[in-house]
Amino acid sequence: MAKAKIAFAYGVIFLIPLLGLWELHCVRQCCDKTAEYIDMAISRADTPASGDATDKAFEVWLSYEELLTSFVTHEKVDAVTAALSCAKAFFESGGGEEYLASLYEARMLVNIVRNFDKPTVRSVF
Amino acid sequence: MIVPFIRTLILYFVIIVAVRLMGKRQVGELQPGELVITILVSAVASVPVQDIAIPLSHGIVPILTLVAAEVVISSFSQKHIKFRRLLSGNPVLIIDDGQLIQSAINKLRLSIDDILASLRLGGVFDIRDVKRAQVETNGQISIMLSDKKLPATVGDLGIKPTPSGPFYTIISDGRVISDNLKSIEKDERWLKSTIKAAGADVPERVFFLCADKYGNTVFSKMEGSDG
Repeated sequence: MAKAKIAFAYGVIFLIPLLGLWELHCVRQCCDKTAEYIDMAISRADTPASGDATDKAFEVWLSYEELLTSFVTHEKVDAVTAALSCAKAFFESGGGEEYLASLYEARMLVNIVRNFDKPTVRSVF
Repeated sequence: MIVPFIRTLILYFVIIVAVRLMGKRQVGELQPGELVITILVSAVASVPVQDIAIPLSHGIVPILTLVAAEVVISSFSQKHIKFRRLLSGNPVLIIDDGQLIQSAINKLRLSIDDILASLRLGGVFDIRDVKRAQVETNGQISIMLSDKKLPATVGDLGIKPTPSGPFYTIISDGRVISDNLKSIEKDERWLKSTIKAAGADVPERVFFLCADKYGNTVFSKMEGSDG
């Protein structure tokens, strides 16, 4: 039993960093995909293709939302969802400055989520 | 309301697993490292219980990490004496032949009142009766009495002691614990005659009965029972 406990403890110590790396990969994958579509939407802001890119960004984000809330504080995930949903609404009501502003905000918030669990000197200490 | 309920249950089971993983040591016997882990686990667990916006993994991962680290370090210290000493320290002698060792007491920042209280709790009221006393690594004070104050044992007196074994609870609050009855190698017939001899006719009228395999018993009748 004592040996099993020690083996379990070693298992936990090795598995948690592995799980952490997988988590980093998932968060990064989701954020990179979403950011790619947001960047596309920003660069084509005056065209109908921008709306499609915004829709796609929102779709990608929602598909990862459940998984993200298991690792990242819910406020940060919800903030991106809210910003993207605002961008969608602004595009449907004619686009313009507000649309672009909400896209930039979503882009910045996605970046924060992307780096949330990244082990850096700043995040560790 | 359901979410905190479910999260609390999950964390409860995680903590149970964590505590079982740490072992059976009681709070008074905790080494410094174990005490730190126990305090940290309770503090870490309370955060995701109170705030449902924090992912549960932010509570579970630190708890499992703390406990796993504790198990690994304690198994390592079991094999390496130097590491164990580094982690837990050494016992410190504070009384030698009835004399207080001031340098050790000052180093441990103990007050005379603390030492005297520990001696009294150990049944010693006169410091001269102490041959050696030392502060153990878990903070408790162990006492060795001087030769002339050591209690005489049965062996010293040359007396043949009455055999007595470990006592088991046979009846608790009127209920018979059959497994314990088997443990003392007795049967229902013995139980019936024992409680009858003690003045009760049925087990329901017995508040407490414990016995050993040699037939020694401690009996307490249910209050208000006249049987």
